[in-house]
Amino acid sequence: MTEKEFNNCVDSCSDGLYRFLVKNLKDRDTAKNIVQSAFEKMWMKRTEVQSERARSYLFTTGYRLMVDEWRYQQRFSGLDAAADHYAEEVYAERNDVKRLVDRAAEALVPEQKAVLTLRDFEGYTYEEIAEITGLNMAQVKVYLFRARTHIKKFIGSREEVL
Amino acid sequence: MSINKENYEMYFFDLMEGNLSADEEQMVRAFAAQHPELATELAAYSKSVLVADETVVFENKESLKRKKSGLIYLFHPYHSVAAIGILLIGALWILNQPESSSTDLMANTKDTTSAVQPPSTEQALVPEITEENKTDETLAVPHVTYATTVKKSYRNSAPKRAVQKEESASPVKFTPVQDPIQMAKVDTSIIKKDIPQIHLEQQVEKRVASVLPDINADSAQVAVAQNNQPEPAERMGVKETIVNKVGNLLSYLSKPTLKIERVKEDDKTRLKIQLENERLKMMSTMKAGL
Repeated sequence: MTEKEFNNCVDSCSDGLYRFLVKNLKDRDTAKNIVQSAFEKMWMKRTEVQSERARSYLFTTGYRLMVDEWRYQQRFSGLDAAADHYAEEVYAERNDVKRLVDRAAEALVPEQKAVLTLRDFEGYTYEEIAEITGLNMAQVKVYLFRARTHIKKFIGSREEVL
Repeated sequence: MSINKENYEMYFFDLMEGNLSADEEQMVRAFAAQHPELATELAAYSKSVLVADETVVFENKESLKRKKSGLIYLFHPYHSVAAIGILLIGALWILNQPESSSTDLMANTKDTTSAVQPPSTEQALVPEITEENKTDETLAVPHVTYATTVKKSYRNSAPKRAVQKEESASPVKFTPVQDPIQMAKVDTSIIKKDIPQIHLEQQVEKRVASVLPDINADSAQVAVAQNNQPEPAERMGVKETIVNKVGNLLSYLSKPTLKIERVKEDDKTRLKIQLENERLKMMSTMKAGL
């Protein structure tokens, strides 16, 4: 990967990676740090990473760093308050259906939510999601099914929206 | 496998995910039409898609980009400054090191002669050269024996043999020395790299010292001692050359030596480990005597 390809990748991938991380971590500062770390790692490995695989490499690295962050957050319950504050901020800005979907997604377990955001935000195939998350394809499909079924039930319980 | 009320959720999910063929898709839609109470669930599945908030963007992308700069790009400018500072300090430290050359024997010899005080025992070993001894300037080559210890394999039950190598090119011989490091049976793998395997025993030092004052051979012996090189006619030059030769040899042997001894005290055996540089002291003594 050349320097120019790397800089092009910054333009094309940084927003998507940042949104994916913000959605799952609910903390913009942490998401920003992880984006920086992911690009830094890719720069260090630029001789091994091909430009067409750069996006996948970034999301794989970002996902792993995010899992580390999840484990770290589990030790500190105080961070939940900040996450709730961010969620209320987001819900106030979205219309009703999207707000319900977002709220339903917040109740998902982290792995399901990560798989769902990779699928919906980035349009990754099951195979690509499996590669990024380290899961197998059957697990990816099960996580997606459970996530969508949960959201469907959450939305269905609010008849006024439908 | 056809769709029914037991498995319709998986079909609805696959329809929403686009995992179905055209026929399967038509079958699912027909099933939903036949069961209006499930149509709302299909609609809910279709709305279960998360939509990314496009207003959330990573600001300051320039901080992530790489710019063409010097030879080494570091992530933070402060890192570059720190690296340059370290390099400068290192360069200054190297430049300020005092120059020392191991090949410049005579310079070192002069320094050590004035700096190192020879021990009393060493002084006793080397007889002083008086004016009477200096009358004959035809010097004989010190004929000291040199031997190296050839280590046999431990699998071989035969005892170790010290092979005497008569060095025709070198006039100096070494006596066989059993490696004290091996005797101590301690892990000295690191030390062994720095400590020479050949040790000049004290008896050899005595022999060297005892031979030197009796140097009175003719010029032919001197020529043999100096690798068959023809000598200049002046005998004063011959003496100086021999002194240099001996000095060269002792300088080579003047590396630090490790002595390990077993000392018995009050029914306890202790290992006495001593790092010393007696060769250098020996050379200094001889130089002063000559």
